[in-house]
Amino acid sequence: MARVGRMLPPESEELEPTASFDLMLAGFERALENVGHVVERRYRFGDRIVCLRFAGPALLDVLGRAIAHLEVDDDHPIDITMSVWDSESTGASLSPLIIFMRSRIAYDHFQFLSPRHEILGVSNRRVPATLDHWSKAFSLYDRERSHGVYWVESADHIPYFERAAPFRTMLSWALEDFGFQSVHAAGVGWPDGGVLLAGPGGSGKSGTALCCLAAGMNHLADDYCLIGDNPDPTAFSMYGVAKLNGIADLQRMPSFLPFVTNPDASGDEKLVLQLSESYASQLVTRFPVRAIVVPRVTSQTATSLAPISAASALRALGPTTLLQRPGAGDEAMQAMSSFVRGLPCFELQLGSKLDDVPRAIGGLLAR
Amino acid sequence: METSLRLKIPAKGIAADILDDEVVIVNLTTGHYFSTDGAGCEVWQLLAAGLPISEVIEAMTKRYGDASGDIASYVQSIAGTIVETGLMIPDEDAQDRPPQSASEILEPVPVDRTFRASPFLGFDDMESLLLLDPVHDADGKGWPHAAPGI
Repeated sequence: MARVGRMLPPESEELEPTASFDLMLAGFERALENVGHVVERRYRFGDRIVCLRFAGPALLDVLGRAIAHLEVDDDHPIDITMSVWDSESTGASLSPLIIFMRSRIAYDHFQFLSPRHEILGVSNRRVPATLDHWSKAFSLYDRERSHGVYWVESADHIPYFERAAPFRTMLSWALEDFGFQSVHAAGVGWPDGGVLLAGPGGSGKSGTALCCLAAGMNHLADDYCLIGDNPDPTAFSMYGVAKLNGIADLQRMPSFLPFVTNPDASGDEKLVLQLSESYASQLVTRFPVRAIVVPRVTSQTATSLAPISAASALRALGPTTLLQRPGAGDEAMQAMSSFVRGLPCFELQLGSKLDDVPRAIGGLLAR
Repeated sequence: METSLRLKIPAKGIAADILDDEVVIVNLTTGHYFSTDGAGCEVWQLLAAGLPISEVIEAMTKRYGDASGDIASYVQSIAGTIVETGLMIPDEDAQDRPPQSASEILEPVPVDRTFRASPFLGFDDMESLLLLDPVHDADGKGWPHAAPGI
């Protein structure tokens, strides 16, 4: 039996593995009582229907935008439920035990959080639990009930990149139980076939995806997507956004300027395009994957493709995905390995001539 | 390193898989990842299966016909790196498990392959994904500010 022991006063009894989840869910119910109504939306991720239940509209406005393109009618049967609430707009506070846990984490997060921010002593196989890096949001998911709870103090605490990729950790937990892996990869191509762009941040994934978008190609993802291989390797959209690296990207691709949703972005904040609002006709929710492509920025003018081994592609896809997915381990690695194994893999040697980039990928897909 | 030592992959914190003849390994605690192919991948498989280092040396020597001692120092070097980087730990309970032979673990060696000391490559370019402080690197509003030096 799991123990919350390190989080609790010494006299506490051992708790059930779901104890923290139940406390968070009870908080959601209190929030619902306060606001008087639930706001429900259903979305299709992969082939599964996820129902988001918001205690009031505050978080829907902030977190629903990036997944609006996946929304479905409310007559679709639900596979996964997520209860979402904040304290500021609902007036409902966390339970005293969770507040105590939070204060202990704040006191010494290295003792109470794993390197991937799983909450030690609370997170377990049945109920993985994290404290989000930036927003200080809690995410807990009960695998047996296929039910997650997300809490944040205030919508104002959610940074732009989480608004661009909401519920990523909880969706990863939920959807892997249904055979889908969330991966750190972009996806571009056509409805009948596309490529996954794999690599860590800064490798050129987002820039490549933007070049392809500007050239009229279809867009599946710029940073995170789902993969599944039943029966054939397929990628699925998670978020209908694309991001620009500030003024530098805008200068190179000025056609995006009218569609930037956060033009007053400051510092190192990226500029975000909500594609369901500005490029809806190019946004696709799934495509068969024809190849894994690993971008690498070069000093050349022209862009070219060179074959690489499947293991090289796995090196580009696996570590960056696993290190951003709390709880993921060998099973996720093997699923990615299996996915990559059956596909041709290439290095995309990115040159400075942007027109070359979609041409190279289009040429690959036309083979 | 003591050649009677047997190693095992820790129950948590390591993810690894083999594609073709290359293994990719991720240390989920440090954020470092590793790769090696050919003979390096074979040594990884034999060590992960719990063979003592001495038997790994013997199996690799038999496999490639090396009499110069290169293989022994190569296996020792890889085993040392694997332990130093936390990818495997000494297996205290190895005696309780039935022994496996190298031929059960490895595919037959291709006839034209000679021994090559494949490097055991390590990468640390993603460790910063793990190192940010989730509480103190955000201000009162939760807005992100990376810790200095990251």
